[in-house]
Amino acid sequence: MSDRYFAKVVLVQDKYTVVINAGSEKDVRIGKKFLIVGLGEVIIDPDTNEELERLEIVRGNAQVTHVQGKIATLRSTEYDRKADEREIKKVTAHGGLVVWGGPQDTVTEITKPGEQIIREFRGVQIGDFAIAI
Amino acid sequence: MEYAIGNFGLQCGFADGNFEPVRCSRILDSPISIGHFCRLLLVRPQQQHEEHTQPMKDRIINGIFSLSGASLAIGTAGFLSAIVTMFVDVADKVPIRLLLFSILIFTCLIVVLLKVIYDLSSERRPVPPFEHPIKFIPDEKLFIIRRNENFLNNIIVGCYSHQDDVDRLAYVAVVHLVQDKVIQIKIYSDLGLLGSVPCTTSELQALIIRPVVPVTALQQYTNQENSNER
Repeated sequence: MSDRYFAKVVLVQDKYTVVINAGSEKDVRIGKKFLIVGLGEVIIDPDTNEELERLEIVRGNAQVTHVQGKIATLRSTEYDRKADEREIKKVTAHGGLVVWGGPQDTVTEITKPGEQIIREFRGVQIGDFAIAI
Repeated sequence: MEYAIGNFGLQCGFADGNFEPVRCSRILDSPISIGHFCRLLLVRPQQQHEEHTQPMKDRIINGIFSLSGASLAIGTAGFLSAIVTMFVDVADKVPIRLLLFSILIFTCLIVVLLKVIYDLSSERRPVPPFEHPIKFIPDEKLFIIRRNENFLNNIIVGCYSHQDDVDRLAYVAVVHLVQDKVIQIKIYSDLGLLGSVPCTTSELQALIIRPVVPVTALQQYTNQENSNER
């Protein structure tokens, strides 16, 4: 295995969690970040016809959540965020002491930040590689 | 050949309509000789790329052991021979002191020239500020370019279509992943300049990717993103 690839994916637990074949014996700690990639087609230089390297297909970014001796569990750290929700409220005040000014409008604008949803790994499978970042 | 100064600096062109931009700052910033400048204008884009990728050591060896190198050596030998026979009596006796002095002078000159060659062999040429894509992956909307130190991870880049000697921004993209020998560029915004994404080798050669994006394009991209969110 190339030095670029730290470990291999040995189990796909669910859409958001994978297990790699490196643990505390390889100095993996909780919180360590990895890029999960799969290998695609070979890229050939059209000018020299030299085989450059295999294309790395990004599955997603992940962070170690649990470490054992020889394996570690990684969870996706990428999020999709829904669009912000803007709520505009208009309140008209009547009566009271305000006589000569007439009814007064109060406009309140509330922006609710969009909900963050964890993004699943895109097509991750056993044998994919983890690159330490 | 003709040249024109556009938004992106000096451009040089050839009779076959093959134009190539040359950044003015690169010419002005670096100590460059007139000969080098002229060569820069005369070389074709592919030659330019080869020059950038070819190590200086190989270029020196190719330069010395080339047809022009051999003819230069023959010419120099003929010239020296002519000068010596014109002004020096070759049948005359030469004092050993003069001979040793001449050997010393020429040895010094050869050592100095060897040092110059050695220094040049370890010199690195600056990487070009642009790249042509070598492949397009339609599923992922990815352009693949050769590794270039000007393209760092996650920076915004511009994909310019080179048509009618003018560069127009076609796509706003982001450096998706830097690999050992190639870089993946992901298209984020299609500005609608091209009907379809270039796929063939000739179409890809007409596309230039630079780590430079005009601020107006960024504003357009931001507005598009905001409208998509709503």
